[in-house]
Amino acid sequence: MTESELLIDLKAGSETAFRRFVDTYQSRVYNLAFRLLGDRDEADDVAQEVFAEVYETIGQFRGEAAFSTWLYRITTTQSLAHLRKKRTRKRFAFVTSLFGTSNELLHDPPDTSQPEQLLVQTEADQLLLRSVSQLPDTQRAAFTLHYMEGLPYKEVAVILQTTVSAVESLLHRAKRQLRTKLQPYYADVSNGN
Amino acid sequence: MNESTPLNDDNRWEQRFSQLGELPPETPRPFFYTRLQARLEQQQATGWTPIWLRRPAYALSAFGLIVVLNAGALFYYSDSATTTDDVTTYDGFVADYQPTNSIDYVNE
Repeated sequence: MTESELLIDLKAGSETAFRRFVDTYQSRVYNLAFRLLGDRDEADDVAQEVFAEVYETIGQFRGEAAFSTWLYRITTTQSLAHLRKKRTRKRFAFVTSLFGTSNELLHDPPDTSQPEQLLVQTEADQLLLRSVSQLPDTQRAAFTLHYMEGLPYKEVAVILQTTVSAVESLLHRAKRQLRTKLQPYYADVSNGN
Repeated sequence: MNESTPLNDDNRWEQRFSQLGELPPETPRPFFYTRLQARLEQQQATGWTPIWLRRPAYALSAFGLIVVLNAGALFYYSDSATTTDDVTTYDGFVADYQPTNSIDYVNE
């Protein structure tokens, strides 16, 4: 079944098509959410939200962009919104603890990546990933989409709903920050410290 | 790229960043679709609820604030109304117009 056929069936409300759609895209959506959020549970939650939104708004998809681009846009938007909510919750942790009805986590949960996954990642990779997670939201999104998902500037611009030159600027600033942060580490390594 | 090589030029940094794309992709836990289905069913069952219904504490706080503001306004205006009433009392009238107590019955 081609993507356009799948899309037609999805718009018709076929549950089989929706299941096939989820099976096809769940890894990509989850992976992007995980790269942006850095937490498995949160990525799972956001990935579910993304598919729920697709389920509800598939009728609004007009095919102006590629289907995968549209999906990436929803995932990025949901992930960044999740990050903003998390930061707001942290900032007003005391107030929300008074008002909150659910027992939501207000602290940074430990890294729950699988042990074998950690073994695959080198120390340098982990350091780089940690530095990326400290970038401002839009820079982080642009960097993740371009370097980790391998998307060209043009597609990143469509996903972030901005211009190509704005994406270039975001990436330039992101790389400059990462270089400043990581330069001492690489200098230490090269000196044998 | 060798980690022991100092990263000085743009190309090496570019290469280093691009290596992140080679990391093995993260995959969701098993039974993702089942969890998603349960979420969708729950959403359909509960339907859409406004935020003030999901977090009644905020609605109650806002209501409390409105009550306090109204009470404050009531107190303020009732206080100022009392001072204006003073002017309309008999003493105020006398002080303003100073009428004489004598009544002339000219025609009698």
